[in-house]
Amino acid sequence: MRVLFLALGGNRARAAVEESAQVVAVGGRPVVLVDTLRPWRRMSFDPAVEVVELSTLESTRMPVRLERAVLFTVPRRLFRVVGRGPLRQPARRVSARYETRVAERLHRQVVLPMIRPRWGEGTCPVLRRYLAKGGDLDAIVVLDPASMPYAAGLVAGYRSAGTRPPRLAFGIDHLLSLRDSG
Amino acid sequence: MPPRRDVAVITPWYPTRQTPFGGAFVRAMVAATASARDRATVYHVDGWGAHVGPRQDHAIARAHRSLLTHALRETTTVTGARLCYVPVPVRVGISFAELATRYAEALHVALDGRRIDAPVVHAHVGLRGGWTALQNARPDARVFVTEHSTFLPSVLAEPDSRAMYDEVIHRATGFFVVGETLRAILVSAFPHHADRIGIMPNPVDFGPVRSDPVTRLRRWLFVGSLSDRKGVALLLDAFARCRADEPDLTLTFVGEGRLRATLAARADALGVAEAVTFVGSVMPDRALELMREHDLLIHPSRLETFGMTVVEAVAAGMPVLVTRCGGPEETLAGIEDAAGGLIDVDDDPETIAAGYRRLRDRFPDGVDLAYARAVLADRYGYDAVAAAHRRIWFPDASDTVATVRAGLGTGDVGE
Repeated sequence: MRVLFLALGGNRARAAVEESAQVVAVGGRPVVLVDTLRPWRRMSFDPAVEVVELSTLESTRMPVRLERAVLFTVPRRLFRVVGRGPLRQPARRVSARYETRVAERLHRQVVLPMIRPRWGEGTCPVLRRYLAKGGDLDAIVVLDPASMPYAAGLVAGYRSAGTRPPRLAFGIDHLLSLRDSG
Repeated sequence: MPPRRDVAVITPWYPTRQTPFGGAFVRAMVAATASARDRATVYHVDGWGAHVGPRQDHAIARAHRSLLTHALRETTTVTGARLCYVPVPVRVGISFAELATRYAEALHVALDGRRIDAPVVHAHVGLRGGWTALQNARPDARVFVTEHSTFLPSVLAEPDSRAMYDEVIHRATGFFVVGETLRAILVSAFPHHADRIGIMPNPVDFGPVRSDPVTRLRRWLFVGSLSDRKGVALLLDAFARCRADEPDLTLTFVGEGRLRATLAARADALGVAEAVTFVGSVMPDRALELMREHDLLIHPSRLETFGMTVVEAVAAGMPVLVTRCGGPEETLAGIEDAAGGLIDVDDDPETIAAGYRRLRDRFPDGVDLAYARAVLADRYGYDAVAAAHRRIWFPDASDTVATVRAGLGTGDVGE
């Protein structure tokens, strides 16, 4: 049983960790999709759980590449040009501060909310390509609100391709109780 | 043929893997009332908070509606009751009335536009449960609501939520609270509903009593969230003061919360770290085991609407030292000394320390846990609470409105 857990919001982490471990315990193969790994550093998944970063998967898409260039690559180069000689250390500090206080915030609070819902509700080509590598999915478990557009998009993608979508649930217990009951 | 006594329970709180302790009292109510009905379906309408803007919120709402109609949601819970899980995405910052509207809409979609097919619907929490029940119950259903929330004043401070609350009390067949503290708040806000608001206590499982009775108040126990409202920082300071006189005292914190790291650092600074244990969150069964392994429950909360932990501790056979924070002085009324002792709510750790010393000096004189347990079982045991629910859900000829009121407080059971 291959189960995809969508945990893009990262605010129901305990459920993600426990439920994916439960899939491992019954011999299944869980994949947990998170936005970025950083907020999950303090959580420990079962070693058999495959944790995937959506940000990494989506980093190849053109809008993200453009955004990275505007918000990160170009400013980094500018700071490098300016920060020569005695200005080197101050420029590095300002550059780091800019990235955490300005660029990262813009990325999280402006860019992602603009692109994510649309991409989520779409057919999620990068996600579908990634998931296709590991074989068929048996179920999708939606764990937080931010994941809902992606779940809806994945289901719509299966339907538009004429294939039956995996079973869908908001918690592993609903899937396992169905399995147990036959 | 449909079951004769079919009940639907609607609640925003119920234990899940994410919050294993959330709504344990609702699960206890479902377990306790097994004898009062033939079938039960619990609709757990669970809010999933999200810090998102309006645009993302709309996208999430669209997706949520389409997912709800396809997702598997059913499993079973205690006593074989059906458990239907309905997540509700909620944007952080909206009012309680807006929340309730979203909850009601989510259940409507999950039910595929149909009404709840039960003649009796019992909701927990005024707006998120009560409003959701009223909007989704069939027209001839009798809808009851029990309020538990400690944050009720915040709800009533919002004009739209206050108006919705007024309507919920007005439309419900019967409206209950778990203690006088909440009743006083509601009667003050809605004096015109004073005679409609009754008392329906939380049920407590009076399982097996501990095999070895408490002989000395050496092992202290706290059970609850590690938050300011629970007074845990004061408890730790009081413990350090008492341990200076009695070096074999220990203190166990059961629960999680944002103060955990602060408390650990404070225990270190006070030189009592080796005597303080943080167990973290445990399942209810384990919490009861821990109660049987400790000698004294100290519950220094600032506010409780009922104080379930206190009753559970006496049920487990341990004395309690608890603040007069609303619920506990009501639940322990008449058996204060038999159960342990009550102390005032203030910001001085010495109040807790002095309360402990008074109890220690007289223990076991005046403490009669068997008597306290019997009194509480009569008030809050499963049989008592099941009987109270049966009287309002399915009254028979002998259950006049007057007898129901006498058993529960001043609640109106409708026609």
